Amino acid sequence: MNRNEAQSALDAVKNTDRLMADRMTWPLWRHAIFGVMMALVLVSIASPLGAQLPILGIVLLSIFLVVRDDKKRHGMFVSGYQKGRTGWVLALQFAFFIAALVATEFWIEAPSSSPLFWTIAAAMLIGSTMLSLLWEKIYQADLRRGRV
Amino acid sequence: MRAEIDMALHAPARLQIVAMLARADELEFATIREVLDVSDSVLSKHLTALSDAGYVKIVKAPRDGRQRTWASLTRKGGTAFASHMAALRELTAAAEQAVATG
Repeated sequence: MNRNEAQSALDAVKNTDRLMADRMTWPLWRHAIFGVMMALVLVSIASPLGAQLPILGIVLLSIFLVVRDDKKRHGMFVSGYQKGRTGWVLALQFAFFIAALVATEFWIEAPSSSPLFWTIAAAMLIGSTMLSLLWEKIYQADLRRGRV
Repeated sequence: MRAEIDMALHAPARLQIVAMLARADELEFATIREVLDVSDSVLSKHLTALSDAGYVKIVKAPRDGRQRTWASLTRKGGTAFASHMAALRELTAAAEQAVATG
């Protein structure tokens, strides 16, 4: 293989990445569902044992439906675990969730009746939705700039 | 990771298929065909070659009353792709350096 063939192959991959970036757009509701799921996981952990399983069941059902819809609508499934700078968004999401969990477990005695807990849960919903949107933007940018 | 040209990825369409699969967890046959703008038979041939090399896993699953084909990259395929891309970059960089140093 000579230099021109190698460059041509690299250009072909770059072009494919750009085409993939154009296709990889998800509607706002898809990001919002992720935010709802993260908030529900927090609510389930803070809930009495009897309520935990049904809430986690709703989360698992949501994951199944989202994956199925992604496959049907886009002909592909892209999980959050991808190469490139999106790893930082995942780390941020993890840190955000752990911070919310620690605040709930150590500072709030009765989460279900605490306005502070529901404020944290709402922040989790909105924050996770925004991080999901950020993930999409960074993933598209990485693909367009050949960073992955 | 060793940078090495992989002959199974030498064909541009095959390299593009693997590049697509490296960016997603699973892709449907029709999606790959649309992005690459190739015929069913050409894509089928390349996917079979990549599957035979152990680079791509192919799964058939029914949806809306029709059988759909889904492809995903194997760990071996991911390693081969990374190694091939590194070799391509090394090749172009070496050629550019040779030109620069005259």
